[in-house]
Amino acid sequence: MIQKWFRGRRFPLRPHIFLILLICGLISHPVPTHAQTQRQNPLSGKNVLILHSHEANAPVFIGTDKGLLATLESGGVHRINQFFESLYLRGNPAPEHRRLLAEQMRVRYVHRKLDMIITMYPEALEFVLKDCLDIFPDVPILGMYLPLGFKLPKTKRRLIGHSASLDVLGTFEIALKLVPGAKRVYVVSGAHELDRTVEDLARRDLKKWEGRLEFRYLNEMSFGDILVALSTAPPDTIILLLIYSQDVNGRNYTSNALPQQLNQVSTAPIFSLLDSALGHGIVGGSLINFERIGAKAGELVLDVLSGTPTTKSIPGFLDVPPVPMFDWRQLRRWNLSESALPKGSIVVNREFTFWDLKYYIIGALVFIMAQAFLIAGLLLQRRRKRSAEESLRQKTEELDQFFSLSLELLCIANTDGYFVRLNPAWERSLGYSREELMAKQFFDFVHPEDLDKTREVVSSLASQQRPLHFGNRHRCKDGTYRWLEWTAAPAGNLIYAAARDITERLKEEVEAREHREELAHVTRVAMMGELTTSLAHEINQPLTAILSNAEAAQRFLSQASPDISEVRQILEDIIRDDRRANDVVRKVRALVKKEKLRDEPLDLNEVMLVVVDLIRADSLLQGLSIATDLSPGLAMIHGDGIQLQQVILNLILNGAAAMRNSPSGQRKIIVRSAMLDSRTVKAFVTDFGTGIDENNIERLFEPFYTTKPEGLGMGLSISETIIKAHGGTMEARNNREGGATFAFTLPANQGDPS
Amino acid sequence: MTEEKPIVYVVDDDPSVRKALERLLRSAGHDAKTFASALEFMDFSHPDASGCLVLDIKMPKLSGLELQDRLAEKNISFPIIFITGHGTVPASVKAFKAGAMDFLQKPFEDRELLDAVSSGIEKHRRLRQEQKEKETLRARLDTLTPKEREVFALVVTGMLNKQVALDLGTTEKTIKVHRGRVMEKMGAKSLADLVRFAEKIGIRSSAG
Repeated sequence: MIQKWFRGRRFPLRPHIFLILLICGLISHPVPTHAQTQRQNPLSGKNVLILHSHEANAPVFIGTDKGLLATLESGGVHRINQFFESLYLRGNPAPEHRRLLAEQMRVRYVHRKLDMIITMYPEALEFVLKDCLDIFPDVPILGMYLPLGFKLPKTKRRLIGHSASLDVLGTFEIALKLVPGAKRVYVVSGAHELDRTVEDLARRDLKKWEGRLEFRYLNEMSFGDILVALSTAPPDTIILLLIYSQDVNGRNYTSNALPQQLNQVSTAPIFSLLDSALGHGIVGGSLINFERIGAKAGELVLDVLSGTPTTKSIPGFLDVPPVPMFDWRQLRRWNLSESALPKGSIVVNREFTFWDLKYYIIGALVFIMAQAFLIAGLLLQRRRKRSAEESLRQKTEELDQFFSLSLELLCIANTDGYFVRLNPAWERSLGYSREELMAKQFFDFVHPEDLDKTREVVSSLASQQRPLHFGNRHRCKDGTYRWLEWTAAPAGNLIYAAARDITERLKEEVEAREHREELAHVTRVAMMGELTTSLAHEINQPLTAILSNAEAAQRFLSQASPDISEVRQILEDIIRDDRRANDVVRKVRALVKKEKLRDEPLDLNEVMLVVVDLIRADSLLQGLSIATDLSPGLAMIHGDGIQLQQVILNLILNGAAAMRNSPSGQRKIIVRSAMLDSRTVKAFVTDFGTGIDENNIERLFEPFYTTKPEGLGMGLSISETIIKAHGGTMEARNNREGGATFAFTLPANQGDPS
Repeated sequence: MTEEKPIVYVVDDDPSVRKALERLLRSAGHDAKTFASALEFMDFSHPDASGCLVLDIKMPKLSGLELQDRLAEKNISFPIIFITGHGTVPASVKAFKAGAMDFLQKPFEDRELLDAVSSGIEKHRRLRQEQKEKETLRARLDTLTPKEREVFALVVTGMLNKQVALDLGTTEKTIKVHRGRVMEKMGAKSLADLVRFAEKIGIRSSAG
């Protein structure tokens, strides 16, 4: 896999990351990261001294320092703790110079504790070990760029060596692959001692190729001669640039200008050994990468400084292998095939083709598509909004339609008492036009008796803010009134209300009630017919007493010396008995009379006692005993006493009828009352007769259902209707010990009778 | 023989009626005694005097008709005047069958009641008198010898002395003596008296 480089910076082209960056509009170069574990503050404050043997602007130092500096920085050794010194020992190796340099070091660093010294080139190492022995006696040293086979001097302190292994053979073999038809090789090399060392190395490495290719070593030539030689080189030549730091005339070459100049004139591709020359005219080769070396050296230094991992794992000699690196422009210039590059090659200065930019393009497309989706989404949303508006409009139309068609009276009114909107049902119901209704306060149409109630509802709607139900009467145009049943809810200072005209329903209810009362009356009268014997007896008793008393009085008075006190007593008794007879007559009349339904507070016990009194004579005649078991703490109830008497009478008569054929000793009825709970009163009538036919127990309360040959079958049906009208329920069941118990409940009268 | 004053017994559960009836009877010169129920009356040990019973038919526990039955069982012979309310025909029929003396429907005129009471008392007085007579005759009968009884039984059939003598196998003269003794012992002044006595105490000729 060929990695891509931009001006020495790695650019991770993962499409998804790229896309995110693109969309964010934050296209920027990420900071290059070196394979390096982040070291935290323990190393801050550690001082590192870096000594260059000669001028700091030499490509080797620039590259190395860059990698070193960044790595140390990221490991926690800050720039202020990194000290760089150029010793210029290559230009001036004189003892005097060295002494002054040493003095300089002493002055500069005596007050600082140095934790590590990095030397570059053997001159610098030698200087530290020999000239600065007493200045930095124990500081560990990393001696970089030592010649191959350099013997590390024996010392007590930690000393780690490093040699940049120039890969002449590797570069050459790559060059041969790229230029398969090469016939000759020009080996360019300087005249410096180091240059010669490298040349010697090259000669040795390339020896095995000498039979196959023509080798020409341009070493004993001035720079100008070299340029001439290169400009006339045949096309099937490989230029192999070794190290050129000094020419034969002793002139130093440290900048990258040299490969540039060579390339400008060369008629054949130039391969070289150092990455500092890459981008300056060479095609490439198996290159020493100074920045990489610097980074590796930095990692080693950090390891030493932090003391971890254990010192044993720290190598005694740093080895950084070269990297195959190439200049894309030079490959193009010499028409060299990229496919011939070795695996893991780094190509710089690449100019991108569409194919190379495919990830950018894909990213851009994805971005555009995302945009398109976004726009489509927005369009869809707008369309939905429009369709929502449309459906809202339709709904409003529908509501308007319903508003117009509704049989119920719908309105919106304000709390000032005016209608704001009315539906046509108002016109149909009240006969006024809507304009007429809206012209006046709506209270004007309310029945005077309902006005206070209506005002109360409106003000509570305005304050309580919850729906209310109520009823009132509204005047029609013809002066009659209609009963309206309302549901109203407040909203701000408006009231939304729906009313139902219940006039007809109320009329029907009244008629039904009247009908029911009529029926109840008929039944009652029929029942009284059954009681005539009893009633005659009840009246005859006092009449008999009155007559006898009166006649006795007459006799007493006709005696010679009448007992006046006796006569007075007789008269008192006559009056009492007359009242008694009158009382019976009144009770009977009340039962028989057709009276308007009453609603008054009642004591159910009293109601029951009246009936038991009335029926007493009759029961005697039938050999029937009626026992009462009335709860003394019975709550008051509400209703019509006569109708309730009718119910009890009906139940007692039914019980008596059920025992018609029982032996006279067993003819017994128990009339009982009790509180079922705090809100319910219950009455029971128990007999010991034949009981209810279980098969017909459900039909008991049906009209015209009867078991009595002379019965109408209305009694229980009417009784149940009466109890229901009083808000109670009626039930019937057989007793375990024989006979049946009929019972009914009535709601207890709670609060004030209204 | 001095007769005790008759007593009218009133049984009615209605205190008003009871009291009014007592007054009415008292105003007419009767001694009246009232009872609130039949049972109360049953418990009362009435004196040996004539009287009558005014009884309400409808009463709790023990009705007038039931009381009538109980009295009959105990052979208490007070004439009973039932008083009743409206339309109790079946009850009145039953009461009459059981020997009720009268049946008054409330409300009734004083005369109706007082007449009924008077005749009731009279009836009872006569009844008591007859009973007493019967008892006297029975006591006299007990004093007769068996022979005299035989003669008594044959004589009241209308047989002549010699026919009796023939029947008994004795002489006419002996019969004559016996007959005189019977007449004397029984307190009969004539043969007609003797025949009437025989009827009253139920002596019939075995040959008759």
